[in-house]
Amino acid sequence: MGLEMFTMHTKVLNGMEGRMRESNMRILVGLGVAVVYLFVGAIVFVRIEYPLEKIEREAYLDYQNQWRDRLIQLDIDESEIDKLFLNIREAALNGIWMDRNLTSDPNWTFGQAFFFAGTLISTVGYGRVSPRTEYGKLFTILYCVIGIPLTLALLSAIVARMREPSHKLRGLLNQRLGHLFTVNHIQLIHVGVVFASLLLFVFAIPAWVFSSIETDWSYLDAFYYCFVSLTTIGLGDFEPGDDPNQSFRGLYKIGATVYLMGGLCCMMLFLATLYDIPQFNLTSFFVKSDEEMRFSEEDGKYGTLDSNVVENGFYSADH
Amino acid sequence: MKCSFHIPEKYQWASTLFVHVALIAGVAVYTVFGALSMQWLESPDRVRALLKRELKPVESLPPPPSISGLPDRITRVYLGEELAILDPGVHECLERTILTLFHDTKCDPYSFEHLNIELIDRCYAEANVPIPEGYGGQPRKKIKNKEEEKDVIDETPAEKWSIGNSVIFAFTVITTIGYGHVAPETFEGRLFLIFYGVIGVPFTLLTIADLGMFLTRFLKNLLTMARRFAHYLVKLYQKAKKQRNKSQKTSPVMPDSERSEVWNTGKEMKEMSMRTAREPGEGDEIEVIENGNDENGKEEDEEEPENNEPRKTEESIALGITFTCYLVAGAKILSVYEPEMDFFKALYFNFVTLTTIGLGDFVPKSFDYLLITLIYIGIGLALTTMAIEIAADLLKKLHYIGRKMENVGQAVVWFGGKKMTMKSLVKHLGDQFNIPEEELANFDMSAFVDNAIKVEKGEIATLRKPPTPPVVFRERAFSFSNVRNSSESALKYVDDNRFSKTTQPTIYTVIIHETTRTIDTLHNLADAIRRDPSIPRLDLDVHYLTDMSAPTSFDENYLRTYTNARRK
Repeated sequence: MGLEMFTMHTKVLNGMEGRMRESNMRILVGLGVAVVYLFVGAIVFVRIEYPLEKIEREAYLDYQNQWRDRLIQLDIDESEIDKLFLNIREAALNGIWMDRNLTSDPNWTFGQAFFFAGTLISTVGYGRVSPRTEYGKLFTILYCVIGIPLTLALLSAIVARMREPSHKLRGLLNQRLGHLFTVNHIQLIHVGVVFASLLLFVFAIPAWVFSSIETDWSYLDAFYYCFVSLTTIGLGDFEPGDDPNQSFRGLYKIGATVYLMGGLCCMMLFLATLYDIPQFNLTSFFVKSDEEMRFSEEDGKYGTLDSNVVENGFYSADH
Repeated sequence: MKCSFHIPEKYQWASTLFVHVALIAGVAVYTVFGALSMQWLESPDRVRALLKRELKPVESLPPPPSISGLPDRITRVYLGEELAILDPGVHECLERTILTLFHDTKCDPYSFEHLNIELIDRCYAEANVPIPEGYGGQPRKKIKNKEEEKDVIDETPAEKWSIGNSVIFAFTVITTIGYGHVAPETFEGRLFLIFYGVIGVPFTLLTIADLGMFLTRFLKNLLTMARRFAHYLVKLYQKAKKQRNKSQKTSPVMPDSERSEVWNTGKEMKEMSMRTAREPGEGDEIEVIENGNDENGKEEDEEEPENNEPRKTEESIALGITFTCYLVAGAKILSVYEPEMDFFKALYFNFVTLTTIGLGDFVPKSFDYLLITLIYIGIGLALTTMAIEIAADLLKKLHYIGRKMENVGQAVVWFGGKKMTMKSLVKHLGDQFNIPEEELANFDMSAFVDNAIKVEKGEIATLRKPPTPPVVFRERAFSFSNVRNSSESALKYVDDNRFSKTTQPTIYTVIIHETTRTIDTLHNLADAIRRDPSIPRLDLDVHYLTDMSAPTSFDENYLRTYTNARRK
């Protein structure tokens, strides 16, 4: 999602701003469609991936029982221990954990599959759990071809809605501080306020919540997880709900998905606010340089591009 | 003209390419910097120190001694004959063991099944087998394969952050793909990753967006050339058709000036509506409409609204085909040099990578072709940006289908790096044409846009107001009688009926006597009227007589009166 943020935000948000007045019904319908899409994806992943995992799990249990019988009767040999560790490592790489003789939940329950589908359509993609059947991989491709643009359009609409309080804040800053600072300074103060709010409510507080729930995570680990997720890098070395002792795992996973989507909206809002300032809007800078050369080529009179040049260029094309 | 046009174009492309190359080089340097930094931060000494620190509470438990030799162990397979040659004692041990088993178990299946393997394995375990160094070519190759396989399974910390893995990690971080096949474990590594991502991710996405715009313009140029070629063919066909119909052609219905005027009006409205409907920030080029012949203007005017929709459809289809071919071709190439991937797995890997999902279940392993893979991913990300943008536009159209626009004046139109609202644009347009400010102030923007959309759909011919009907002079000859009847004038004329009754003999007398000179007749007529007090005075000044239309009508009246006088 971070990839599309950069190219789409200016076009979509400025195009939508002031042109359409969003009705709440449309937003609710869009949200409903997105939630149903996530449910369907989760159910399909469970149907596709769970049978193979069940077979592997049963085979592994049988294998473990055999090994337990042998270890009870016989002395431990090096080659036997070697094979045992090798198989345990392979099982771990496939995402099957057997720590402390606990019967943990399988990988493809509904909650985990819901979380996995959320990481797919938001392009975060942890990869800790991934489809291993041919049909699972094929469904992933089809699911994302439809889901990624749908999610992008929906998040853009939500961000356009979120910009109204941001504009009100800026108006308030203009009223209170208009006599002290220039317009550029007020814009910088506005971006600073938005950034501070983002850092507090989207990174600091959720990191504290995650570090409280996850016993293995320190605060830096939780902050690191939030950063890696909301920039859609998604390394997958930390993932919520991996502890075998985790209670309410499915509900916790769904909550993490909701946090992920909400955080992405806030990130897009911050980037949109940042790019309102002409100095920071680097994209228009590069586009302008191209347009500047094209105008100078066509008119042959003007060395720089300003509004008069645009108007003259516009009318000279007609006349 | 071409010679002068060529140099600025080359200059423009050179500068644009310079910007692109500078950005791409910046990303490459940043990737290498990140790779080296992570390799240093996650070096084996640091990881070992971290593990030692973490394992302090567990040190009370003694580690099993057999595990320490695990990484150094090499397993070889010998045939029974080879083993008998190397150590003859194994053969004797096996012979004694088998005899003992037969004697003890008395051929009981259950006991035989469980006791058999353990005792036989003990004989093999006790074998004294030296490791031959210069044994032969094949065993050495076998050992090498075994070692390679072991390295793949058990990555030691030294090889986990090799140059290849570090470069892949840094590149996937700043492009937000993030496989996660290797991840930082130290405090410094994770902290560095946060700052590295904060700086690198926007910079890289900016570069990829810039590359996407470059590819978009290139694709549009190709489509423009194709469209011009098609248009040229259509024009040739029309020219041939015109020559065929030349004999049947009659005189034009409209004059040329009016026809060209209508054509210009259509062009102007189309230009305005296209500018309104264009996506902000997308396709900022101002299209210069080619000046065709006046005779073909009408036909081109009708054709162009139909071409507007297929153009975007063509671009979407072309981009979809390009993206699909790029995925399939990339899958073909990757499956050649990546050991783990066949065609479908390579296709799956390409899709997961280019959409920046990055699950990490497949990671490029062939480090000899790493540069090719990274370049492929970079270009593919630009294509993905374009494809997802068009798909999102399509979804937005679905979202807004059947919706009526509100607050049209605040819609923003982009001109390169500048933006302008529709309201100010229309105001400047009105100022250009000297339209009165009151009319501009009372202008209804929403109704205007609705009507413009209807014109685009073809429901209304044009927004131009119908012209006032021309005054026809040739139907009837102009005369003061008609002017007098049309406008209520207080002026009384000589030839009114009521005056003719009383003054008739006097006028006739004067006319009869002075038939030879017209000017004298007029003056005498004035004197006759002045002499009679009952007739009001008629002022005929010289300025009035110099009008063009007055003498003609007056002469006619005079001639009619003269004719009547002559008859009597």
